[in-house]
Amino acid sequence: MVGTKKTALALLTAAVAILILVTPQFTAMHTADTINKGPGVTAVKMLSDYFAGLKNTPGDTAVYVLDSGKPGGTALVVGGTHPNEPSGYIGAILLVEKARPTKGKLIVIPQANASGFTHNDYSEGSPQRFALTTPGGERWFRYGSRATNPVHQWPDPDIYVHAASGQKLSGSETRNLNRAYPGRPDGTLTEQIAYGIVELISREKVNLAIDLHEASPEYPVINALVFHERAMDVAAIAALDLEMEKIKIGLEPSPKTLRGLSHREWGDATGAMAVLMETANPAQGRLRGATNEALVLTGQDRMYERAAKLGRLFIPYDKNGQPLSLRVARHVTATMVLIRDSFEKDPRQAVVVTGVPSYREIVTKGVGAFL
Amino acid sequence: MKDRLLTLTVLGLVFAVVLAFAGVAAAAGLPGAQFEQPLLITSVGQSADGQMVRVLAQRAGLNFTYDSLAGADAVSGYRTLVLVVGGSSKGLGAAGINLDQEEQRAQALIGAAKNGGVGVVVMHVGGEARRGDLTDRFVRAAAPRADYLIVVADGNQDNIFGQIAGDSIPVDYPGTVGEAGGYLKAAFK
Repeated sequence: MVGTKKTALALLTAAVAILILVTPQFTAMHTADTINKGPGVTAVKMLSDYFAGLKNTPGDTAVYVLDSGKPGGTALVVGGTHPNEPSGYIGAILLVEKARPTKGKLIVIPQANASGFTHNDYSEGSPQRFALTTPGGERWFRYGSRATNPVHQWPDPDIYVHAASGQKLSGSETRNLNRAYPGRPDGTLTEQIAYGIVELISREKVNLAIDLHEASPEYPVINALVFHERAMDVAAIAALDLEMEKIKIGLEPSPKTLRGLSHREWGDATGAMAVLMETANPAQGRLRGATNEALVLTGQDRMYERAAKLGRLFIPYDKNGQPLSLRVARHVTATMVLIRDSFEKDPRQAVVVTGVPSYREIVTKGVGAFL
Repeated sequence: MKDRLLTLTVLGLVFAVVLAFAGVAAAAGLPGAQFEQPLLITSVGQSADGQMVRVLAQRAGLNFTYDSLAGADAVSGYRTLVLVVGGSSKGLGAAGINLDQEEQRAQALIGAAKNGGVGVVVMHVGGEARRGDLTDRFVRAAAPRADYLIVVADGNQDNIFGQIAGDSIPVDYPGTVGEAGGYLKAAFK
């Protein structure tokens, strides 16, 4: 078929029409999720308060301070390092909206890589958003990308060289916040976000820092807690205490040679006990079927059921899947146990947090009931 | 009369079967406190499961030293060697050693213990999630030479520990890591 001016015009019109149709969806990812200030929130800061270089950049993000006003330690909870790992940031949001410290201070960054929430991984077919039923009605949250938006940080190098160690990784990892620590004030946007978080940990004299993540069910480090050596004791005690609550969590030491990750660099660069926790999100896995909102919320997938029967998974998995509420319940409960156990040895440094629903409550009523 | 005799015979048989199984159960576990303190606790496979056993020993009030990378020369001075078996590639990486080196260390430790009359307790507390090729290699290296095995039950779904123990090694299967602490405590005089 030979093209004419008419066919060119028709194609051009179609392209413009498609552009007009998809633009609102595309730009909707830039609309921030609603995060309500709970009764324990005493201040809302920005990460740029700790590193001014982030001010007015897409990397700046809200920092919620829940200060009891009574002397004690300081605990930090970080969600949304990877915006395609929703149990981490929904768990952090739940803490912002429900937690009430009665001793010490709790600081929460629910969306650590704010830029990563402004796009998603098109090649993964991920949904852009998912909805939770809450007492106030349906509430939407973005399902973002693992990495910083390339619109904000581009181009990727062929090889990403971790600045502090010279470690080499694939180029796309240059936009992975959890390969960028301890960050650099004059580095890429991702390195600047990392630098801001490390500055916050140092300036706020954070004793315990927790990074909430998810990974695919076929990944060996799953339903697990990775700890910096300074957090070794508390990690072991917390794992035993969680087992008493019928929550199994594996322990993994942070490798000294794997650089750029929170559990390694937060611990090395600051005085904090650093831990990272993982739940299992089938929407991230390689074996999954349709990748949609239902998969994000229910974690139910026939292919994962088959994989479990073949012994290919590292977690128990049946037709009930790994629902988001279960994953959030794991993170929130483990966070509370870690906070409690961390300060057992020195009550003067204690952080006491009330108001947070229990594991059973979150699982039975659903996480939306508490948002 | 005939019915009564039959009933008594059946009851007798049931009683005999129950007794036989009770005997097997008692023989399979550790009959009483047999091991002496102090203990040297180490990891085989460099998983953090050793840390959990360290906390269990602490809570049990045992006189112990924990060294995840203890060498054979460290065994002297202790009455019992506790090997916590569980492989972790992250842990091996963190320790800067490979599988072969870790297996050799385990063999050297057990060899030193056997030569010095030191008791060897092998524990596996990581359960199903910790099992896999990596852990199984360390299980096969350490468990057959143990004097006592404590294995969290869901780590033995394929009965690997039962097969290794056979009739010669006492083995207990606690349901949880917390319960494993009870067995550990009970094993020591």
